[in-house]
Amino acid sequence: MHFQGSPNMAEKRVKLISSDNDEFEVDEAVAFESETLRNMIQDTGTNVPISIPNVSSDILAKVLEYCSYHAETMETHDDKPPITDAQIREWDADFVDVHPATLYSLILAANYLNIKNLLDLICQAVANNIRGKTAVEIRKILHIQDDFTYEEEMEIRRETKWAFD
Amino acid sequence: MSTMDVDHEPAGMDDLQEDVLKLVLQRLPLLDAIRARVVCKRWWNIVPTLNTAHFLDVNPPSVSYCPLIFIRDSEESNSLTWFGFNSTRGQWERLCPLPGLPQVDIRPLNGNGKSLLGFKTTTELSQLVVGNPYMNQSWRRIPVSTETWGEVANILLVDKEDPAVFQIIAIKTAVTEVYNSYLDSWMPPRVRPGRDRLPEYTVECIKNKRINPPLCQGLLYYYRKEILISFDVEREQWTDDAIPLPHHTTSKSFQLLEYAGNLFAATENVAEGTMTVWGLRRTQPQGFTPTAEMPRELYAVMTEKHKGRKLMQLRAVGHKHRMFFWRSLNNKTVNIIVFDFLRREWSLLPSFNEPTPRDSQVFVDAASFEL
Repeated sequence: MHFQGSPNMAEKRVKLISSDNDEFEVDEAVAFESETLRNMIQDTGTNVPISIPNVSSDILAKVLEYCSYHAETMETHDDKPPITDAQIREWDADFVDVHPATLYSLILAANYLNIKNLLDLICQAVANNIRGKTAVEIRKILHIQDDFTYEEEMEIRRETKWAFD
Repeated sequence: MSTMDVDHEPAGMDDLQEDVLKLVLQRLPLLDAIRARVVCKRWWNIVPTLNTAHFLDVNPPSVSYCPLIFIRDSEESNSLTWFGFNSTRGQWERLCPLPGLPQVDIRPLNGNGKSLLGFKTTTELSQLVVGNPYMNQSWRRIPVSTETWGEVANILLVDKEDPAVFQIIAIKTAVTEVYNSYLDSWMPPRVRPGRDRLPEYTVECIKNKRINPPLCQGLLYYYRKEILISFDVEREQWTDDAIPLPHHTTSKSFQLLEYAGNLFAATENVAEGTMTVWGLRRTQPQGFTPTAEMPRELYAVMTEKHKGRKLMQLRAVGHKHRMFFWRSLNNKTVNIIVFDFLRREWSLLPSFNEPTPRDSQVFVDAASFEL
């Protein structure tokens, strides 16, 4: 798989290798959206491919799509009007409109790669999925095992009956 | 390249490290966080450790104060000083002077706090004044209604979006009226209470600041006899709500409060020395279920200054992630007990240490004020 970053040829290019050994090549500016990658590049330069052992290619592609778009929004072009905040918000909303399992993988990746805005965006999206749900619904959506003992459950239910029934 | 093992199972919430899970849970509104706590043991342990600063409202104000204390040096004195408990810094602070305030009842109008104060003047019949002392404007005089004057409960409600826009709901036994600041006039509600004519003692309770009518999800809650009723402030009409109240002996041992967008009630058992917090269940059948009990030793602290005196009103207010409880006492500051619902921790609020002159009037108010 080859990821098409911004076509600005003057930029330095960075090679990234996913956990399943796919190679990605992006502009340095795109990689710099990630604090982790920025530090690595500043340490080792752009000649050596950087391996990202805990992010699979489909998730890395998604992360780079985000970084690429957001790096682009920072650029100014004389021939194009700047991207508005409203447009960015709309793009972000589309970006997180994915299967919950993908969201969790993205959180892990964003956390590891230290991309603060992406982490904020996804955490908010997951929180929005939980809002207004009962504990039973949350367990179901997030595949979480109810591990309270019967006695604990009874104790909790007594105190929280108002919130759940 | 690393040879680290890679798990190809789709990721789930269980895979999130604690710090990342916290980032997610901290973005929940307070009520959702409380509900989320019972999902599993891990969440049960994590939720109380969340930084409560994240649970401030959708539009977090920079500073907010609750409860408030109003002091007048003497009965004749015209000037009122006020203090607020700074919920972020956790201390009592003196608030700005109230210049130009006419002679008013020391107890401000009930309401949803925000950044306006309302008072009833003592020199003119049914004259209300409203203002934001931090905005350096003169006090706005509210036209006197021809319907709801005299013995009336007035509730000041400030718009969530625009703190300059407000309503005053005026409730008399048989008449309800709504004042809208942008119309600058009183109007009858769109649906009159009709058969829901309020019993006089309900109005009396509100008027005397005994029961704080809390605003919760756009509904203003009152009670008549043993039934909770509500007024939809946006539609300006009474709803069909008729929810049984938790058992309590007298209205003095009972209080309603809003917390995290849900309605709660507190009931006192004076003989037993206990106080119970009840939550209102929203799903049918609506009703109150007990959710917390004040520790007896703190109940004793709350009432220690009251020994041998006439039983005064139980007061309560919810603000941010805390609930506050106290018993009013004429012209005295009192011990205020705090309940951090998220952590389910009870404690004594730092006491108010400003010196109060001998014959001063003191009123601890269940209101909040945001700068």
